[in-house]
Amino acid sequence: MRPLETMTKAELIRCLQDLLAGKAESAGPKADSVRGSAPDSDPRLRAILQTAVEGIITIDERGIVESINPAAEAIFGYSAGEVVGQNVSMLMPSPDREEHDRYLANYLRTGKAKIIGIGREVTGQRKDGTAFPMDLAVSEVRLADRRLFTGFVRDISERKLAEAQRATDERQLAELAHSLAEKNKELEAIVYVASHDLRSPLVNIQGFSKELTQACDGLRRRMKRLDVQDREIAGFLDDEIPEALQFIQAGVAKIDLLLAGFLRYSRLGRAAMNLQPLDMNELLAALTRSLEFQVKKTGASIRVDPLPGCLGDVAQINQVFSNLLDNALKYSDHGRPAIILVSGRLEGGHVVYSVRDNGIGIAREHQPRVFEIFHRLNPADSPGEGLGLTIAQRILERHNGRIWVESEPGQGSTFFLSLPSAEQVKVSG
Amino acid sequence: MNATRVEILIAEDDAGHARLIEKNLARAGLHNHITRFDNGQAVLDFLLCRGPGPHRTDDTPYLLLLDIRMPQVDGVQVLRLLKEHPELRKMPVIVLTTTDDPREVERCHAIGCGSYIVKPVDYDKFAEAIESLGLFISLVKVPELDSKP
Repeated sequence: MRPLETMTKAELIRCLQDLLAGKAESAGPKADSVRGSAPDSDPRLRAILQTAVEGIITIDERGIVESINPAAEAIFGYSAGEVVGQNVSMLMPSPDREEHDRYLANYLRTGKAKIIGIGREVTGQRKDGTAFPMDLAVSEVRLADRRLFTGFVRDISERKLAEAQRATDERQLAELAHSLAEKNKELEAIVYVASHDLRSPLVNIQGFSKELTQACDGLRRRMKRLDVQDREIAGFLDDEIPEALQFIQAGVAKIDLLLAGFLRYSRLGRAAMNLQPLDMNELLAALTRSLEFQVKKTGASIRVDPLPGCLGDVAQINQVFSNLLDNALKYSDHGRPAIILVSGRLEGGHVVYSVRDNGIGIAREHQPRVFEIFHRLNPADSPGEGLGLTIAQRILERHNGRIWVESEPGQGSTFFLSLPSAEQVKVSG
Repeated sequence: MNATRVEILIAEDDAGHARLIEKNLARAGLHNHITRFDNGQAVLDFLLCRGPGPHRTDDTPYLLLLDIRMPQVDGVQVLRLLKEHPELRKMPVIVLTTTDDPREVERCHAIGCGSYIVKPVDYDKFAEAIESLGLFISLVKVPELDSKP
């Protein structure tokens, strides 16, 4: 027989059954002496009962407890003296407590087992009256003159609690994900409607301010024809009104740019995704070709290392790299030609690409904000609506990927992208 | 058929937009009669000869400039009803949209409107669009509607 600590529950039960039934072959040479005697009179059996991690309780045909081991004492909070000789129903809450005698009689009469030989989850009751969930396996032992039942008990409160907690966590997580998706959809709808409806009055502001410009032109022509010389009128027509109109139009143009950005961003959330393995070498080659003119003009250089493939939507991933390369060229240090390096490596199931430049870099405190919508670090220095990185981040999110930046002001920036690897498809497909 | 006889219908809830369209049509040299409706229901009543208001006449060719986003009966609904009508389905319709959102453009195409112009905020582009529309209007062969429903 193996050491008790290493036995599985099933092995332990079988061993105990054998011992109780007095089977010599598995219980050892001394087993003969326990035949027909009290189950815990055998020292070996007693050792098993004493050291078992499981609670083990033996009852007779009437439900009277014959033995209870220390583990079961601990589980129920009773000492053996309080339980032995009592009906085992004392360890159960109502209604099992009242019904147990009937269950047992029913089994003895019909042989139809509910728990015996099966094992199931039931509720136990401790000495202090608290109920708790437990695993109960009951085996029947037939002795020469009577039958005994051995119950193996395990307190599963903690497991149940953990299970309940996990279920709650999972439900909450699912609810959160659902409400987040709803909120996202709502936000996109709001952005869409807002940008759409806000654009409508802009048509009027810009249209009619141009009408006013034309009206001024008409007035000027009229004055010239009538040969009216008036410095004050000329001041209004040539300076005051055009200046005001210029500010109005500049304001409108700015709002229009922002709204177009909003619209573009909201469209992104609705765009269908067509995920497929992408040949990134091909994609980057096409991108760098399209930037050739800009690169030559500024004396910049773009180097692309051999890149592993990823799983993505070709248009959207193209957009991300296009935005990153644009930025790398736009935010170059005027004191030196831009050197841009694109590389990539496999990391687990993901590919991590990097776009490194030797540009002006981003101060540490600004780094987290570069992905914010309409956030621009140098609004005066370069054109753009401040949406490139926001869109890149949104695209990465939709791909279950990630984008982050490492940068040293004056040295340059490196943007990292993590995307699912194209290899995954080959493996699973 | 004489293009100057074409009557232009503008269904546009924004009075400013309608006025800008009128001004630009005039500037583009178009002096066709223009009737403005400020919602989809009004233009439907006119075309389908319903309600007490003025109704279309049999011998006038019409061209409709239709705004998509209008309260209550919007441009899409108007277009759908027109396309279901045995006579009115022949009437040329140009949809005016505030954005070039693909969803909107697709919706128009789906119910059989081939031409649309985006209302740009940029006045020059807007004028250009209307101007080319003006050209279009003067050249387009507008079929005469045969009879009232």
